Formats: sequence, structure tokens, C-alpha cells
Amino acid sequence: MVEAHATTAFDVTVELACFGVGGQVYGVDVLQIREIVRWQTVTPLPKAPALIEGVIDLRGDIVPVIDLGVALGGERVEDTIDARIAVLDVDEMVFGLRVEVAVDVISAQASAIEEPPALATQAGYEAVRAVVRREGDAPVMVLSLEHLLESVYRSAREEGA
Amino acid sequence: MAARRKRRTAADKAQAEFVSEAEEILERMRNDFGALAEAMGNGQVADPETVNSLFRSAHSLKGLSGMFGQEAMSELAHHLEDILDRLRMGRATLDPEGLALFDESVTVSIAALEKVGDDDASAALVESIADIIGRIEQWNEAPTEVEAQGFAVDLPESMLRALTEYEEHRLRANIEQGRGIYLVDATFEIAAFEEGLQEVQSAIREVGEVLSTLPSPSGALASEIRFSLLTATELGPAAVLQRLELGDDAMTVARLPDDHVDSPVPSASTGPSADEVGTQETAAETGGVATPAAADETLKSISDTVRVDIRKLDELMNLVGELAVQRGALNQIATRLAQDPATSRVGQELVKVQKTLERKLQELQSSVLDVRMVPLRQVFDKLTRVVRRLRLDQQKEVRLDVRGADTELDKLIVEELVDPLMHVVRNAFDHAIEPADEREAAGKSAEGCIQIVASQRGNDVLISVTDDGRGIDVEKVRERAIAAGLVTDSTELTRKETLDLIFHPGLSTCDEVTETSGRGVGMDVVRANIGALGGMVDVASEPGVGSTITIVLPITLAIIQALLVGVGSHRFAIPLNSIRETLLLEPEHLQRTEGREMLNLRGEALPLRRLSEEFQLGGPTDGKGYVVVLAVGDARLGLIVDALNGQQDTVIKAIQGPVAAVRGIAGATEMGDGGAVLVLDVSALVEDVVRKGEFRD
Repeated sequence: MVEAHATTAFDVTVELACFGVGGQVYGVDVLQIREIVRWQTVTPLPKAPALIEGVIDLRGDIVPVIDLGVALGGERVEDTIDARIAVLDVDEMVFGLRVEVAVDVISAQASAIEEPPALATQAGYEAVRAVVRREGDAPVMVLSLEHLLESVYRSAREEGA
Repeated sequence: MAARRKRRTAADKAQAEFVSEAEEILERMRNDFGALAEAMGNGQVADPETVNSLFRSAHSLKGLSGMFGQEAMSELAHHLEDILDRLRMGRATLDPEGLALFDESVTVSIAALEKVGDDDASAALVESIADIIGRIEQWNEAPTEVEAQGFAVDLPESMLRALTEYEEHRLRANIEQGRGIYLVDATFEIAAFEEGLQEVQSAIREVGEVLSTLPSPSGALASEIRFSLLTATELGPAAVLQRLELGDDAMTVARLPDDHVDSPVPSASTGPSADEVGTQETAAETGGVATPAAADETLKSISDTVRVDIRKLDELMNLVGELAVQRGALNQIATRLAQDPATSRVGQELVKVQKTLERKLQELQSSVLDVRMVPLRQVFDKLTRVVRRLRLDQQKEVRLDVRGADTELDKLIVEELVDPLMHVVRNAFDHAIEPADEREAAGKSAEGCIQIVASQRGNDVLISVTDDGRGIDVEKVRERAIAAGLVTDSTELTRKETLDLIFHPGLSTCDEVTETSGRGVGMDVVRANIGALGGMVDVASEPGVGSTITIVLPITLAIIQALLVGVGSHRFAIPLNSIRETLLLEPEHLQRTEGREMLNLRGEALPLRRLSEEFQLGGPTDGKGYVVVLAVGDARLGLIVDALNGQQDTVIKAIQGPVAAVRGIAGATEMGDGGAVLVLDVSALVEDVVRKGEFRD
């Protein structure tokens, strides 16, 4: 969910943390990010929903990890020096999102946020809820984490059936 | 875990604290009332300490509920306090009607506590509280004649004047009971008198009652202080001296002569008013020195413990676990430094420091564990109350004999133990103990007995519930099992196997379902609940003699010893208390029946599971390996793994976030190398096998 930080209609700014996966740039509202950690050993979780890669030990907290590449219907994120795990907190639901690279944090004006193009609503892109166009730079796809979680639950149900 | 850690607002927190504190007070009152009822039932005189304790509880409850705006409850507590004060002063006597009113007051208050925060439900309860207050007032107005009388002992005038109204009442009550009244004079060094005085007081309390402790004005050196303790006991003076172990002449005991001449009642109004709890003022007036032991009897004694949210202890435990992990990392660095010639000296020093750190960490860990431990008394008290109530409701003579109430268990386990244990006891009360006439016909005492014994065995706690009832009818169990389609007519079962069927879902040996047996909850739920705590349940029964249900539980779930096993590149931890043994896998002992592997283990067929298949980990399914024999209750399962990697203390943690429970995984634990290791849920794994009918018992 993209939350506005200011209340007046003309001065709405959203801070987005940007991650690269599969040549695209994805943005997540910084308010939903707890921290970003380096790659670490992910312990596979047997019988878990397909989208759950496994769990990591985050200073004593056992946190499940979702591979953003797989979640968007693409390739798995490779273990490179740039790879990161973004630890997210969506309504007290804590999980990690594995990404190829953490790019930067941008401030987007409300006027720059658009509805996603028709293409983005196709398979694998349901989790994209908006697009921020930038001059001379790749557009940022704003992720709906709620939607992402929804697909985790769905994959769990399909397996259970 | 995530849900439990939800942030609470300050108001919620305050409310929760109020509820927990008030609940504690009410529970204590309920116990005390129970003790009073018991004493009254046996025709004994109510223990003054119990009445005092009730009075203090009511007083605390009044203040507490008033502070949190619970007007109705505060009002009720005020009325209780009032009556209890009259009781302890001997200005009222307790009758069954009054006792019933007390009991109802506590029940209504507890009900009100449960509804705190729920305005609609509270409103209804406020009315029932008002109703009970009305009835208390009515009861209170009924005249209870307590005639004033003089003392039958010769007490120095100065001492008589110093007694409070309450002390006077106790003195009179003790004389009525025919106890001897003694004056124990003791002299102490001023510097250390508090300790000495408390010692003497507690020694006297073992054999009688300390009526009053007064500083004595005469006969002491400047560095000494002298006390006179007015004491009532049934023992003779020599025995009293012996009990106090008085070798030195710092103490004297003198029996006050009974003069049997009614002296006029000294002015009772000179003492402090009854509203003031304790006896401080008098002591201060006469001797100028406050008596510390008397202070112990005031409201203060209630708050000598600290109430801690168990979640805080969980956090502490986690921190200790993480420290242990850091210590492991430190050890690796130290060892590396020690091996390098250039740094070996400093490395060795670091190794030493690290060793000390390890020892201290272990001490810390066991201290934290110790804090989580609570005596089983909490549960047993509840059971005692339930049985007392059942006995009244059903007019069935059953005695509950509790032993080992001081045995300690992890708080979380104790919480989870209440329901299953309650169920077992109710089962015994309802079904096992025969009606009195039937018992007498069988040559047993009319009163049945349920005995609960708890004891510690290593890292386990053993709780057995034994009744002297009719025993389990094995034939009837078998008939029902056949009717339920669990076994067929031709199935051969040993006696033990048949008995074990009572743990099967949907099997009850009693034809009618009564209120108390907890409709629909059977022994299968008991076994499942205990299994979830990593424990086991077993049953033994002798027709006509009785049955015993035995529950074995680990002392704590916070830290468990686990066996680390390897499957391919994966690691798992298995709680050690559910492992019976480990074997080298010998392919020639494997048997295949109906596509499932079994192992012939000392003549018995052990169902097998390959962990790699169970969790679809891939990898070869043949070749070498080990069999880890798991046990839950009597059910066994052999788990085939590739490697055994030793034992480790582990702190099991729930997996957070969007992963609903994964079947077969109880949680995860962190390892020194930074990775997480999954902990197997043994009872789920074994249960799955039992459900598929591979394990027949």
C-alpha cells in the first residue's frame, strides 16, 4: 500500500525503496521496510507454500523469505554480492523479500504516480499496483505487498488441496 | 509469536495488570474460604490466620478495584472486609449461609473480572453484584450473640492495656479453647533483634499462636532490647522451651496462672480501631520500638513477589540463547588466535576468558529457567476446589489426596496442564469411583479416594492420578471398540492394548454422559494435549481395585536438548525427550509390507519413514543411514536419516510471518554458524503414522 506522508492534496510525497529484479525496478513503501540485510543462508522449509523459499535466522527471529523473482513469475534471484533480503513488516506480519540488488530510495510526487499500464496487469504482474515514471530513468513498479502475501496464501491452499 | 507480541496500549496494559492482580487475590480468597468450609465441616474452629488472610485480601481488593474504577467490585469487597473484620474480632460467627455468600461473592467477582472492558456484559454483572451485596447486608444484620466475658488468666495490667481489640479477642478465644497462655520473654542485641525476634516468632507459630509481641520496658542492658511474647499453645512449658531450643538464659517462659476469677473486662476501646490492620500503634505507644514481625502481618506481605509477564521471560531466554551463539563465535576466534604462533599467547588467554564466559552463561541460563518454574500447587489447588464442589453437588464421598505439590514445572506447561489433568480427575470422580453403597458391598471404605502424586525424574516430571474405584472394564472397552469399528471381533489384543484404546478418539467407557465428564472431550484429547507439550500419557487398571493414569512431562519447553540429524545437505533438530534410541540402519532387517517399510526391532515391527521422502528433499533413498526411534506415548516410529550430528541445547522459536504451521515442523532454532535449523514436531510425525493405521496398539 502506498501511503501518503503529507495530508494536503498538492504536496503528497511517497518514499519508495527501490529494488532490482529481472531487469525491472520495483518500489516498496519505506514505511513497510524494517531493514535490509545481506544475503544469508536460507534454510529450506519443507511442505511450505511454494512461494516460501525457506527461513532465515534474523538475530534470533526465524523469518520466512519470499523470492521476489519467483513471486513475480520469473527466475530465482541468484546469490551474488549485490543480492539482499529486504525484511518487511506488513501489519505486524514479518517476512523477507529476496532481491537482486537494492538500488536507492526515491521520493515520488503523487502526480508522478500512475495506474499501471495494461501490460503490468498481466500474469505475474498482479502485484504491481502503480508505476512511477522518472525522466531518463527506468520506471519504478510499486509493489502491493498485501497482494504478494495473498499469492503466498493462495499457493499454500493449492498445495493443501 | 507475532500475534502474542502485539503492542498493547497503556490502558490495556493497566487493565490487564488489574485483572491479573485481582484474580490472584480472588483465587487466594477462594482457597481460604474453602479451608474455612473444610474446618467448619469437620467441626473445627476456624484458623485465625485464615480469617486474617481473608480480611487482608478483601482489603486489598477493595483498594485495587476502587483504584481502577470498578465501583461495584470495590463495594462488594468493602462489605466482605467489614464482615471478615467482625469475624476475626469474634463479633460475628460464621454459618453455612454466610459461607455460601462468601463463595458466591468470589465467583461473581471472578465473572466480573472476565468481563472487564466489555461494557454490556459488565452492566449485567453489576446488577448481580448489587444483589449479592443486598443479601450480605441482610445476613450481616441477623444478630449474632457474642457475650463479653473476662479473662481467665492473670495478665499484668500494663500488658492488658497494651493489647489491641483483636489481640484481646484472640486471647479470649484461645482461653476458651483451653490452651495454655505463656509469656515468653526474650532479650536480643539491638543491632540484630529483628532476625532473632522473627526466629522466635516462627518457632512459636509452629506450636501455637503469638497473640501479641510487646517490647518489655525493664531488665535490659542499653545495647539490648527485651520483648514479651504473649503466646497460646497446647504444649506444656517444658515442651515449649524445648521447641524454642533455648539453651541460653536470654529467654524465659512462664505460664500465666488461670485464676478462674472473672476480672472485669479491661477497656476494649483503648486499642486502635479495627480498621487499622496490624498492631504497630500499640507497640509504639508502650515501648517506642516498632515490632518488625508484626509488620509482616500487615498488607505488606502480599507484595513480596514480583509478577512478570511470561513473554518477558521468553525474551530473556532468547537473549541468553543468542549470547550462547555469540560465545560460540568468540570461541572460534580464540582458537584460531591460539593456533597462530604469532598470537598464541593472547589467543590462549582469550580461550580462558571464553571458558569462564561459558560457565557464567550456563549459570545465567539455569537461573532464567528457574524463574519460569512454578510449583504444581497452582494446578492442584484448582483440582482440590473442583473436587470439593463436585462432592457437594453430587453428594458423592470422594477425597482428593495430593502429594508432591512443590514439584516445579515451566509456567507455560503448567498452564496447558490444567485442562487435561482436570479431565482425568473428573473422569475418576464420575466414572471410576463407585457409589457409596456399591463400595461398601465390595468391602471398600464408603469414601472413595483420588490420589495425585507428582515427582521429578531427571528432566521429566511424573504425575500420576490413582483412584480406588471399580477399574476399567476391559471387556466393555473391547465391545465399544468393536461397535465403533476400531477393531474387529477377531482382532487379538492384549489387556494392555485394549486398555490403550481409551485414548482413541470417540471412545468413552461410561454409558451416560454427565455434565462433569466434560462432554465430547475424551482421553484422546488428553493424550493429544499432553503430546503437544512433549509429554506422554499411560494407563494401568486393575478390575475392582482402581486405575492409574500416568503423565510424563518435560520440565521446560524453553530450552530443550536436541539431537541434530543430517539429511543430504539439510539439517534438522529432534527433541531428545521423544527419542528412545538410535540404530545403525541395517538393510537386511528392513521389511516391506503394503509398500511401506518396517523394521524388525527386537521382534516388533517398527514403522519407518525416510525424512528425505517425508519432506520431499530428494536425494538417494537407499544406502547407509541411521534409524532414530521416536516415541509418543506407546506409539513408535523409526525415522531414517543420513547422519547423526550430536546433541545441542536449543531454544525453539516459532516461525514468524505468513507461514501457517507447517505439519511436522515445530519451529526453528538458531545455530552458531548463523543458519536456522528446523525442529521436528515429533508428535505430528508419529500421529500421521498412527492415523494411517500402520501402528496398531
